[in-house]
Amino acid sequence: MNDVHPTLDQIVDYLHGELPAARDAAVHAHIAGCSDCAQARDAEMQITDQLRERARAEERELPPGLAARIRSAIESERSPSLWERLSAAFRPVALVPVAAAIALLLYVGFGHRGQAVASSIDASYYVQNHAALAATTPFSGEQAVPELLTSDTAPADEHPADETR
Amino acid sequence: METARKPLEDTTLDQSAFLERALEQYGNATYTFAYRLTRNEADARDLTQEAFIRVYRAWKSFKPGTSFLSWIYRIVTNLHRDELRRRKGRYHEEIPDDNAPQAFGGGRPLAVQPIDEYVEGYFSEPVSKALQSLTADQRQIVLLADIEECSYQEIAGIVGCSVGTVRSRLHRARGQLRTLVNRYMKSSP
Repeated sequence: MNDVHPTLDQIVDYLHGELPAARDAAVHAHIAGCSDCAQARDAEMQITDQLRERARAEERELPPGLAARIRSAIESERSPSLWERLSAAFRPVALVPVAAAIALLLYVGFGHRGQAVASSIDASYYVQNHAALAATTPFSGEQAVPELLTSDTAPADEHPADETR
Repeated sequence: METARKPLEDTTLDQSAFLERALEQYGNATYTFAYRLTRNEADARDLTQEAFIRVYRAWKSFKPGTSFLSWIYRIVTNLHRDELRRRKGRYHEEIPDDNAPQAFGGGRPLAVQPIDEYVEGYFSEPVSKALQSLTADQRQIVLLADIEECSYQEIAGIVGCSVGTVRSRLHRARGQLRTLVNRYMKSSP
């Protein structure tokens, strides 16, 4: 007989077949020759038996209608709801006002952007505009340069390339 | 429970046929397991329904040849844990067991308890009382180890923890059962 008594936890593991093979054999041999440990094992087995007896009394069958309820829940999850079906049916009709709203938003949005671009026009635009307004012959295509913006005597070194022609 | 341990042999089933086979082979076992966890019929029904809906949705993730029962027990266990957390958040306490002795006027009204459950609870043997005194986690481990006869490895897979945790939880639960059974036996006439 092995003199070392197994702990209660080891007896629990032994009864559940969860001890390593060598330890299992040692506990088995010990219990065979130790009345105290055999009593402890019997007490544990009695608890397990009572648990199982109680469990047998609790065994249940799937309640009638539950399988149908499960199938129906799955079916309703799988098939679209009434609202989804309605919205799908009216989708082309709903698209028209949505498209109109998008178009309006785009128009308004780009309108604002256009103004923003106009504000970044540089000074030459105003010079040309002023020149067009001050032109002697309207619609002639010739643009008279306003006197104030020209000088009679351009500096000699301003257009050196022209002089070489 | 032996018939329920058979694997879902046919790997050529489509999604609906898989559900039907699962319901047919494992419906009773799953419902019984859910009932043992929840301790009442209404919750067990809801839990079983939700579990089979999950089975249907995730049917492709089931590996043929592995234990379907372990798989669905894991689903039921997780759903039950989520539900307990949700209710704990709401009530700050676990929903009382159907068979647990309750103070007059407190807890669930007697009228909604089936009479056989009431009688069983009232005259229950020490081990029943002791089992009800365990925490939900401890009861779950005892249920899987002693009633469903799952190995520690299987329980670890179902509960989602290590084998060492299963072992220590079971030792603690069994220790508590031992103490409580002895106490009830001494106090009973």
